[in-house]
Amino acid sequence: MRRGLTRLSRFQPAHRRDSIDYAAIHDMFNVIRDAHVEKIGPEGIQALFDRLEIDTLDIATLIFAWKLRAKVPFEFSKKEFVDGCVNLRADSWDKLKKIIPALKSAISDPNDFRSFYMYAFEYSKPPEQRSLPIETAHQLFPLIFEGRFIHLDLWMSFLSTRRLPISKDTYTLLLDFANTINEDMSNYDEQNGAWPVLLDEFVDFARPKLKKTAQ
Amino acid sequence: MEDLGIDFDTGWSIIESRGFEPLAAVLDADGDYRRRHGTDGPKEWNHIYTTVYKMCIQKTPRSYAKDLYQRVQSTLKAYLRSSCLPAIQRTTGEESLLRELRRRWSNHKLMVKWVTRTFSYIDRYYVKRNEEPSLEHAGYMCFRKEVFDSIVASVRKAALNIVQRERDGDNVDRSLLRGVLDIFVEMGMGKLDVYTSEWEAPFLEETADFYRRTSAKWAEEDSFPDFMRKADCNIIEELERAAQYLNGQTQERLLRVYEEEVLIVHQKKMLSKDNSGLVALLENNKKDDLLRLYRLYSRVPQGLIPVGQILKNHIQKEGMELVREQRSFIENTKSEASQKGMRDDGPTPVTPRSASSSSADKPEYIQRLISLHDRYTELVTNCFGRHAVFTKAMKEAFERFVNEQVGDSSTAQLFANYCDSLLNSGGRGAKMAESDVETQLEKLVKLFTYLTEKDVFQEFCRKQLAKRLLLDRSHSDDAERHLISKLKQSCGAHFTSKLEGMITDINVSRDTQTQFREWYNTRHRESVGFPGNAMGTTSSTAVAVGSVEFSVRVLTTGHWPTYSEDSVVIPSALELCERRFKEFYDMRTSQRVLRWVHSLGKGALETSLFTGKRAYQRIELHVSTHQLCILVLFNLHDHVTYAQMLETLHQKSRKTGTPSRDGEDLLKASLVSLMSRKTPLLVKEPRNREFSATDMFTLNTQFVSPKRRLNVPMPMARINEQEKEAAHDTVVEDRRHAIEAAIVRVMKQHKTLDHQRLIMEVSKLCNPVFKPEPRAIKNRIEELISREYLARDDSSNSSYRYLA
Repeated sequence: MRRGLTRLSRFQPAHRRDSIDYAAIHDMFNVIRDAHVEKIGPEGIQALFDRLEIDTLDIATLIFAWKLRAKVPFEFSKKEFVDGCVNLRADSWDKLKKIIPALKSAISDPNDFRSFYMYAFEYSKPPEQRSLPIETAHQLFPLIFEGRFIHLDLWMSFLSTRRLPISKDTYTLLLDFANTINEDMSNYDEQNGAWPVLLDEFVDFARPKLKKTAQ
Repeated sequence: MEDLGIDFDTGWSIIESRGFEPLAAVLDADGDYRRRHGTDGPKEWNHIYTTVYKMCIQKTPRSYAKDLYQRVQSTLKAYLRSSCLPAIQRTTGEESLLRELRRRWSNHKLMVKWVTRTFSYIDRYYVKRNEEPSLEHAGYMCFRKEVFDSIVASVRKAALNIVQRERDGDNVDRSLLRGVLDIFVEMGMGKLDVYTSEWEAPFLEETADFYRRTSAKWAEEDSFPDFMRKADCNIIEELERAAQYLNGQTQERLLRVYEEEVLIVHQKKMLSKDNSGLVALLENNKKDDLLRLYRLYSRVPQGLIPVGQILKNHIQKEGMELVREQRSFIENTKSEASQKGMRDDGPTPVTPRSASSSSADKPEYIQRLISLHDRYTELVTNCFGRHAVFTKAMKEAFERFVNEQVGDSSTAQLFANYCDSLLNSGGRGAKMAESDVETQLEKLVKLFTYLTEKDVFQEFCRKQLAKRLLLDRSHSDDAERHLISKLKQSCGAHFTSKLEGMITDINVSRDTQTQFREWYNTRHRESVGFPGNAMGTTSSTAVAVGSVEFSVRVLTTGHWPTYSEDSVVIPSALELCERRFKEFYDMRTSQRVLRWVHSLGKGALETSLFTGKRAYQRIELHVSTHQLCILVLFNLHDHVTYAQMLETLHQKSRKTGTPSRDGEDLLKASLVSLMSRKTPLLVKEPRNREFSATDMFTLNTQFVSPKRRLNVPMPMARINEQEKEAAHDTVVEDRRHAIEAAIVRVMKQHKTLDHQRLIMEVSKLCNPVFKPEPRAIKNRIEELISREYLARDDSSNSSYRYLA
C-alpha cells in the first residue's frame, strides 16, 4: 500500500517554491484554528469546507485530507495544513478553491487511487484499532467507490448484514476485487483465489441476486 | 610323389557319389544312416574329407574353397527342391503334413550336420576369412528358402486347426505341435522373428478371435460365477498349452490376449449382471466366487479398480441404509417421547431433548457399524488379499457414512458414548470378559480412523474418562489403558496426552492420599479412633478428620475438562477436612494452587431414618457432595424453604448479590434427584414441578429404603446438554488453535507460499484429527495477517510471506 505515495510530488507545479506566501497560509490557518489548541478541529474543518464550498460528504474532503497527509480524522495539525497548502501551491482561499476541482482528477490514475484508497483506511479507522469499524465502512465505501465498483449497491446491502469490522487485509483486497470482478461475478474463483472470507461470503450473497436480476 | 592336385569336377564327383547320394538315399528311406554307413567305415569318410581338404588347399586357380561352398548349397537346394518339398506337399491331411515336415526337417538337420563335418575345413578357413554364413547356417537357410517359405501358410493353418481341435476338447498330438513349432523357432537362426511373425502373431489373433466368440457366449448365457469358473479353467488350459508346445515368450502374450478378450471386455457387464453380479456376490457373501474374482481380475492391470468402485458403492449403500434406519428410529422415539412428555406430569422433568439424545446414544448403531466394518474387513482380507484398491474403497466408503450425522449427536459423540459404555462399570462392558472389551475397543478405534471429527471424539472421551475416574465408575484399568494405547497408535501421542495425564493424576492421587493419611495421623493423632470401616465407599486410605472420613484427588488443570468453580458453602466439618489437606499440600508444594471442585465430590451419610421396620438400625446414603450439603441442613431444621437453601448453600455472587444461576440450577437438579420416585428422601410443599422461593422441604419420614445402602442418582453422572455445548465450544476453539499452529508451521518452513499450497499443507497437517473447511483456514490466515504473523506477498495477492 505504500506504492504510489511518492507520486504526490508529481502535482507540485513547476514554478519556484519561494513564490508562495507563507505568511498568508499561516493567516489562513489562524482563521480556522481551534481556540485552545494549535490545530484545526472539527469546527475549523467545517468552516474550511464551507469556505471552499464543498459538501462535507464530498469525496473531495477526503482527497484534501490525503493531500495534507492528515493523520487524525477531523483534525489537521498546523504542519499538515501549512505543508499541504504549500504543496498545493495555494496561499489564499481563492487559490485553494480553484484547486479543489482538480483534486478529483488526482485520483483518476489507478496507482494514485490505490494510494488514496489505502490512506482512506488509515485515516478513517480509530487510531488504536486495526480494523475499520462497520459503521465507518458504511459511510466510507459509497464515498470512495462511487463509480468505481459495479457491485457497490450489493456490497453495501451485504455489509448491512454484517457486524464485524473490516480488516485491513480485506479492505486492501476489496479494491482488487472491485477492479477485477465482472458483471455476473463469474470470474470469481473461490478455490484458487486467496480472497478473504468476507468476499467469499459477499459473492455467495450476491450471485443468486445477480442471477435473479439477469432473468 | 608330387601331387598334381584334383580338378573340381573330379573332386566333386567323389564327394557327391560317395557322400551326398548314399546319404540322401538312406534318409529318404528313413534308415539309420550311421549303421548303414558303418560298413563303409571311416576309410570312406576319410577319403571324402581328404578330397575336400585337398581341393581347398590347392594353389589358385585350383583352390576350390569358394566353389565347393557354393556347390554344397546348390546341391542341398536341388535335393530339397526335387525330393523333400514334393514329399511334403504330397501328404494329405494336416497331421501327416506336419509329421512329414518334422521328419524332413530332422533329416535335413542330419544332412547339414554331415556337411558341416565333412566340409569343416571350409568352415574353418573359407567362411571365417570371407565372413560368409557358416555351413550350418547356410544349410538351414536352404531349407527355409526351399521348403519352409513355400509351405509355411499351410503348415500354420494345419497347426492352428489342431490347436483349435484341442480347445474344442479333442486329444491331439502335442509333441507333434511342439516339434513343428520348434521348426519355426529354428528357422529364425537364433532369433525369434520367424516364430513371432509367422506363428505367434497369427496364433494370438486366432486365440483372440476364439475367445471373443466363446466369452461372448459365456457372458450372454452364464451367471457371473459360472463365467468366472469357465474363465478360470480356460486360463489353466491355456497355460498348460503354452507350457507344452509354445515358446516361452508366448505365454505372457497369450495371457494378455486372453485377459483382454475374456476378462476386460466383459468385466463391466459381468460385474453388474443382475442377480449374479458383484453386488449379488457381496450380498450373499459368496466367498469362493469373490476369491476367484480377485484372482482373475488382479491379473489385469487396472482390473480391480471397477471392482473396488462397486465394493465402495455397495458398502456405502449399506452404511447409508444403517444411517437411515437409525435416523428414522430416532425420529420415532423422539415423537413418542414428546407425546409421552405431554401426557406425563410426573415430578421427573425429563426433557424430550435429553430423551432423544439418549436414544441416539444407543450403542446398537455403533455396534452395527462395527459389525459392518468387521464383515468387510474380513472380506477384504480373506478374499481380496488386502489389496490397496479395496482397503481404499473401504476407507472411502466408511469415511462417507461414518461421518453422517445421526440425530442430534455427531457420530464422534456416539463413538465416545460407546467407549464409555464399554468402560463404565454401569455399562455393557462391565458384563463382558476383559478380552472382549478389548477387542471391541480395538474395533472401535479402527472404525474411529474414518472419523473426520476426531477432536470431538477426543473431547467427549476426555469428559467421560474424567467422570469414570472421579466417580470410580471405571471397571478396568487395563481396558482404559488399552483404549489409550490404541488411540495413541492411530492418532499420535499428542492426541492422548491429556487422557494419560488424567490416569496419572489418579494414580498419583492415591499416593498423595496415603501420604496425607500418614502426615495427618502423626500430627493430629488425637482424632484417630473413629470407626473407619463404617463408611463403605471411602477407600481404605481415607483419612478420618474429626468425624468425617475424607479423601482427596488432586487433578492437574489442563488435563481435565474445565469444571466451573462452584459457590457451594460446605458444612464446617467438611471445611475442616479441606483446611487440613491444604495444610498438608502447601507443605509439599509451594507453587501450586488448590482449587476445590465440589461439583465432582461425593459422600456417604449414615442415618437412622428411612429404615422402617427392618432389622438394621442405620442405612447409608450415597450422594453427591451437593446433595450431602442439602441433607445435612436437616440435621438442624425440620423444614427448610427453597430460599433458605439457596441462602445457606450458595455464596452470593459479588456482582448481582444473588446466588448465581449455575448454583440455582445445581440446587434444582440435586433436589430433583432427592425427590425422585426411587429415592424420595425429601418432600416438597406444594407438590408441583416448579421451584419457588417459598417452597417448603421436609424429610420424607414415610419412605423406607429398600436396601441398606441407598444410591441417590447424582446429577452429574451423565454428560448433560450444557456440557455437550461446552465440549463443542472447546472443540471449535481447539481447532482454531490447531489451524493457526499448522499455518505458522507451514509458513515457517516455506517462508513464502501460494494460497493453494498453504491450504493443502494445512489440511494435510490437520487431517489426522479433523478436516478443516477451506474457509476456516482462510479465516485463520486473515487473522494471522492482521496479527502480522503473515503478510500477502508484494508480487501477488494469492501468496503469503511469513514475517519472522
